[in-house]
Amino acid sequence: MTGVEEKQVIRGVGLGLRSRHYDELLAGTGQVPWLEVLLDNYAHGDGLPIRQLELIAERYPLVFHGVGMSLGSADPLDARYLDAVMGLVDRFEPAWLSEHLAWTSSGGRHHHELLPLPFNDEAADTLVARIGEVQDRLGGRMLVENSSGYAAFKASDMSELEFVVRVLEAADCLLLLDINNLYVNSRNHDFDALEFLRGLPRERVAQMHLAGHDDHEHYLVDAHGSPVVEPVWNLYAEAVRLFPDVPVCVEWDRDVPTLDILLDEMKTAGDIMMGAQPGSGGMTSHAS
Amino acid sequence: MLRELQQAFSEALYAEGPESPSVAAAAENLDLMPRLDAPASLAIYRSAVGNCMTESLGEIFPVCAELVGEDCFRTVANLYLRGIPSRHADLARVGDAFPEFVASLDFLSRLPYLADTARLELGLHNAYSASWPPPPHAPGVLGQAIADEPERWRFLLSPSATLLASAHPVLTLWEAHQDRRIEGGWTLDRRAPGERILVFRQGAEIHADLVEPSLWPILLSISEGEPVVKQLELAGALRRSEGQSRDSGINPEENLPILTTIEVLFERGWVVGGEPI
Repeated sequence: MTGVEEKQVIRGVGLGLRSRHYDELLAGTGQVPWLEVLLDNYAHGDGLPIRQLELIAERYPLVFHGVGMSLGSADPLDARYLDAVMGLVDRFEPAWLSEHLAWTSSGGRHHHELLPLPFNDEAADTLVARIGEVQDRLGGRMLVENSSGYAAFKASDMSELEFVVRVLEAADCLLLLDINNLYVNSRNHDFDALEFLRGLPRERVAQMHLAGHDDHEHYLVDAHGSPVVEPVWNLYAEAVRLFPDVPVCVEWDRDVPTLDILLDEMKTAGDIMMGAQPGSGGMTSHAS
Repeated sequence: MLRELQQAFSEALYAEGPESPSVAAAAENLDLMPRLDAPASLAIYRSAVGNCMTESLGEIFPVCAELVGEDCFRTVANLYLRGIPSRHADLARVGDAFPEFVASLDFLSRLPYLADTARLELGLHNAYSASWPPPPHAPGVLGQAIADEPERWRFLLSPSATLLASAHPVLTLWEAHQDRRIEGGWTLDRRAPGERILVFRQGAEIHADLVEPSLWPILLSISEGEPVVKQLELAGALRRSEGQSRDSGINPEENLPILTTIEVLFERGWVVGGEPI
């Protein structure tokens, strides 16, 4: 961990910060222990969003999460964007910075969507180089998130697990393990999510994500617009057994609900983190 | 190889339709998934990119979306997506070229005020995240400096300011959408005169003010960075006697109308300070 990370304690169940909840969070509603900031919402200008984030930062420990860095693109990193991100990191000193194992731009054109990579040496090397650039600027390790994917490339010659582990080890970075993405991919690509979990290097799992997805019958889409479903809670319970004490963040991006709904999701995650068993009849303790 | 693969995938995202050659070319790089063939995989991403653009533009240009209707706005957003490549990683910048794009679409010519409505909404959007004004000078310091050397100082509009001179009453139209008068049968009087508008943020409040015709040239002059002396001339109150040096100071008593005008600009929050040129 970097020196920055030591300044803030990120434990338990955090929440993805959304502007709808500013007032309640500033009033201390829900006793949320930490917040994950989608830094793309703050990477432009120095106006109201930044002022609001300053108020939030006075009250909550923060971690930063990005979408637009395009770590997996064959293009060089976008210097303007990276400068903006680093400016925010310097200003707010989040516990850590995370991004996705994906690409969002090519040929200088930004697609504003997380796009899939082939699982091969070239893509892994590209990621490792880009992560290295970011970590050099950070002066420490960043987190990278396993992305959801709806395409399989002929150019892939390894599994997603092999790919992720290779990038983590070669870049010496940490993993933001998105449980929902893992579940979505395991359904869409027909692999064993538990086997994936068991294959991860424990010491590199630094944070987890929980979110909802859309079920299109033949495939799932990581939409972040609905509650976490029971199979994902079950998978999370397994992840907690394998990676105890790793903080988890509840994300909700589309049709963002009232804070009380998110607090309910956080409570469920917290119960599981404390050893309760997910199930339709409520939580039961493993110890009972 | 990765570059070519990503290039092909990118072109498929913006293809006219699923039968497009670029979709077929990108599909060549894909394997079958258990329950998805390659075109279906690409369709998910094509849809996601289109939805992201439509939602983002809809958040920046909500009145424009209401004016044209949901289906038409989605069509315009998809045309924009294909026609104007996004060059910023920052999604907040995605609408920068939208007003000019709207103005270029012949099929929207029945709404001649649409492009200016988009310019107004872009100004409001940008005001939200624009930087804060510089700290004010100590009382009297700026006024004295400007009075002493009006050629060497310029006034500053708020960093959040956008000036818009429209041939249409677009602020009136925008306000009718804000307070939902449109739901009570309000319609735009197309014969109504155009409006000059200043959008700016004062503290946390974003304003869109109508500007009087007499003040408009002064604001334009300030926005172009011209020296204070130019605005004083425009105010019609810089009454130098013939042959008097341009370097001479301003007599406050002789130039009361000028100072009143300038005070109005400050009081309204339109001008936030000054700086030496």
